[in-house]
Amino acid sequence: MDDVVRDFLAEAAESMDALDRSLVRLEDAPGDPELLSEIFRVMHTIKGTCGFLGLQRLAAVAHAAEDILGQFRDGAISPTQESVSAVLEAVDVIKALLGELEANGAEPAGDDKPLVARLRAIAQQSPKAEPASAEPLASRIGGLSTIDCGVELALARIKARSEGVRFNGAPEEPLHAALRDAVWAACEGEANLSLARTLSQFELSEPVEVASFMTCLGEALAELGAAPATIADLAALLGAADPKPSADPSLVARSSDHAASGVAAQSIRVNVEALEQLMNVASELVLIRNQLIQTLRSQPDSPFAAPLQRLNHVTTELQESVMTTRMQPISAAWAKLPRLARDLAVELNKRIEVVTHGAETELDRQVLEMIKDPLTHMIRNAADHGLESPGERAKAGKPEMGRIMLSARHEGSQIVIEVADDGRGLQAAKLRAKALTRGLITPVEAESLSDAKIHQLIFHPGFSTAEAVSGISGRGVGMDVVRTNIEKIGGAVELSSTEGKGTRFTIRIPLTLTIVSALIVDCCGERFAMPQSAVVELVGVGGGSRRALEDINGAPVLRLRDRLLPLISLQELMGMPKRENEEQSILVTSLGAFSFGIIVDRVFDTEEIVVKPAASILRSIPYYSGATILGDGAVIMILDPKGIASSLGSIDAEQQETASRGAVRAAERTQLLVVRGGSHAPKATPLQLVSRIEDVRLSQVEYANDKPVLQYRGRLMPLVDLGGGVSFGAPSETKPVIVFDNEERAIGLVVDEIVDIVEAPLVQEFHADRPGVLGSLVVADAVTDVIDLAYYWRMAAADAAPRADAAPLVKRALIVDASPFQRNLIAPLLAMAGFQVMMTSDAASAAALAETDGPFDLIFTDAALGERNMLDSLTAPVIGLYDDPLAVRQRDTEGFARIACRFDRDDVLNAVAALQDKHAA
Amino acid sequence: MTTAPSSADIDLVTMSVADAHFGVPVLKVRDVLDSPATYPVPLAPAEIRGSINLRGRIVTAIDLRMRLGLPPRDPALPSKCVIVDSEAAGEPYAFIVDEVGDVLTVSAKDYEPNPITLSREWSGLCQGLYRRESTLLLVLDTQAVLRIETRKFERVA
Repeated sequence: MDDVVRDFLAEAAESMDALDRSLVRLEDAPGDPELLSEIFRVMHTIKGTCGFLGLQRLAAVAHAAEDILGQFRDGAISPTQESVSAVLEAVDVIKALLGELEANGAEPAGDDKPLVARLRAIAQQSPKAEPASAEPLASRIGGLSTIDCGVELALARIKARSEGVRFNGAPEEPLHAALRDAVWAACEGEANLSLARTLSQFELSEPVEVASFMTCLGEALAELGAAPATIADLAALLGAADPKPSADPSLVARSSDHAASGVAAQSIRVNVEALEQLMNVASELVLIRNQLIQTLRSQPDSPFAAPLQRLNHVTTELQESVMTTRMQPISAAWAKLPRLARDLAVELNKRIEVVTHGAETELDRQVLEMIKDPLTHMIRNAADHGLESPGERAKAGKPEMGRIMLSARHEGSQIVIEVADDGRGLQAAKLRAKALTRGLITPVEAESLSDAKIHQLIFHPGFSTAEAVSGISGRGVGMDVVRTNIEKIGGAVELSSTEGKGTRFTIRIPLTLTIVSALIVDCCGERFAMPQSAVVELVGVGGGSRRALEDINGAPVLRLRDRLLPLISLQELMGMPKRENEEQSILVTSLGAFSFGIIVDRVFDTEEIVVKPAASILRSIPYYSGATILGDGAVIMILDPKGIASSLGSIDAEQQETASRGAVRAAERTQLLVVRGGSHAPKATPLQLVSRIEDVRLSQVEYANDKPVLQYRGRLMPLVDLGGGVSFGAPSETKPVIVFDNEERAIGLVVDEIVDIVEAPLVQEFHADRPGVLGSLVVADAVTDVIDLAYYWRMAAADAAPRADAAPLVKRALIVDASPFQRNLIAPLLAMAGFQVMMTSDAASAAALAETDGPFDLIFTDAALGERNMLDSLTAPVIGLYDDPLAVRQRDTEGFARIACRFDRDDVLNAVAALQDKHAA
Repeated sequence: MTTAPSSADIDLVTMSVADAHFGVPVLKVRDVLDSPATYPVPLAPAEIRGSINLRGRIVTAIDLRMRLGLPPRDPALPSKCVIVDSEAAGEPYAFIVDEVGDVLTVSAKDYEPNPITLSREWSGLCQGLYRRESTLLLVLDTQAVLRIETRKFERVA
């Protein structure tokens, strides 16, 4: 390919992008002469060059498009959506042709007659009709100069006021110019440059500010001799224009374009590869410098000290300069977004404007490439299901024009990008309903989870909020992909939404991926680098620190404040020989909502490291994200927190969030009532099982059939002492009684003292062989027995008469669960609900039990039970029990009549009741 | 399998591993280093000795003794390191050998395909041999040497 052609291609590609943007702006500001001539110029250049290079198809299309643009410029026709669409279409065709040209070195065969004909037809439309008024408003006022003068006077008046709105702080010159343009535009009948919008650029968007300016302008114009009717007309025009507080994108973009055109003259094109090479060399130089500095540290008197100092400075400078060559303004990533939004608006029949702030914010081009797609995705989402149709918006009292706001700014070594819309916001109720039908949450959670938590569900794979799947979005492969992509580059995305007001996504990403801040850690004599962005906290354990690691059946955990942190030993993960090490450090690592700790021997220091990709032969090891060279020349591996987290078990990318939430929730959720009584050790029972706690004077205790009972709410409630005795103490004493009540029967458990209600992980640590104790837990640093409620229930309720009005229901339930601990937790609930309970550990023995002791009325099973289909033959409805309903996916719920959270008494009993009702009906 | 060197004479960088002699076409060799520091990579296949810092580039070092199934080298003895370019991955790798000899020009008339008695392992790694006066010079297939079985990482339950 000719060099000329290659240069033309590079230039044309940029021009076409600029054209896209300009044309979209043109629709908003149809009269902007500067914009018009710029567009015309670009198209003209393309046409001219194509003609010169003998590219006939390109030249023909460009020529036809130029015709229309010429008409726009001369004011013969005004840019309408139709005509702009046609020009955009031409731009697309030109782009496609350019693409072919680049790929094949020649224009493809064929012609574009239909498009050219359409463009011609538009260009030859009759000139636009003059506005109906006899004389244009602008000339009635007295032309541009009068308006200019009027604006100046009005501003002076406002500033001179002693109180109220004074437009303090706004830059005078630009404000004056912008307002003059806005008023002029309004006089010319172009309502888009409204007063409110113009003022909002200067953060003067309050209605009162707009109104005071209008008043002052009216007064000023009256002084300049304008008729009251003319002023009223102008006021109507300015007021009628869209009063939205917004910055005008075209103005923002225009100013930066000016800057860009100034720079263009001094810039040259450089091959990206050359830049990469430069970057690599600079990185190496940095490393060599580091080595030299380290070597010289031990020889302070070396004659090299001074030159090295200079080398140090120069290298740092070089590195920074090279870094800046890699930096690109973020506008490069979102240049295409206004066009996208425009096309979406046409397709969806909505009115959308895209407002951008901080387009000049620079970031590494590698990062830039990575966020392009997520941003596009988010704009699509915002346009498709964020913004309402104009009708809905009007009904909601919002301006018809929906707004999508893109902003970028630097914050430390991060860049913060916000994508916000002023649409309908996330509808928590809808999300709840949908999550419920998908089995992502339980009914209980649907009620209890906060809106903010419900909002997070849109990041769940396969969750789409759109009611209808449109061609644009709504297929449910949206936000989770966005989040994954952003997290891939060490970023994070947050979401906030107010129903009816809009949704805002905040993305934080590192400025560059090549140099990252990392903790250098030591494990068994090997050093590793851990990206600091993932580490939220360092905790020392063992040795001098008071903290110690604990383990649950061999799995190490750390109690960190009120959380239980799963731990991974780097030494075990890396298969390195175990060392006795008194002191260790834990890197508390956070991945989205999931936290875990990595056990290392030592943490050295934070270093800025240059990330190099791992050799391809090492890429199958999931725990590394790359390698780096340290200051002493050593090559060490960079740890990949995501990969390491995956070693924690049932965590793959898709489930990570829910699974971890499950672990944390199960650990957090179970509320335990801790009491003392009987033997010394504290006892605990899940609070969900408890109906009431009463203080009972022991003198009230009576004995029936030699057993202690209490007259309680119109019936006799048997009492049991935790120690199993029948005498509780002196009659004058008062003791707490825990009441377990199933509406039909109740028993009271007499204890010495209610200690506390704590949230603790319900994870069994010891089996118990004593009657009345299910097992032991560590609760609040003390070994605590879990009360075997079934034992006491049998003891006390066996001869307690059911309430007279309750129908005698003897039903049989079977619990199938591999864990005896879990079985015994649920059994008392069922016993209280009037069931005769049998238990077994697996599906096969359940089937056998059904043969010998069946039939059963209800079957409870661990939802994760294997060979569940064997239960299907037992004909009884099956209730699936979960630890964490949030972690339940739809396919898990299939085959269950109901599902319930095993720690939630009401949930379980509701499920039972629902099935019994169904049965009775 | 064996892209037998054509009739033209070729230049081979010679190296020795244990008692065997190998050659690598000189155009594939980028550099030769003397006992470079290697930094181990935990969990890497056994054949991978570690990473080498080659003037700011990270190069993965493969111990040819391990790769060829030979007994490990006495760590006290010096070793040499031949940097070769991997055509497939577009990145350099280092072969750790006992000794690096001269560059030899060998002629096509001395070429022999791999003898059928050569162990399967070795015949997969060599592209024939050249008869020399005192020794046999096996031609290393560098791409084959780099095809190292990597272990699968199952999730730990």
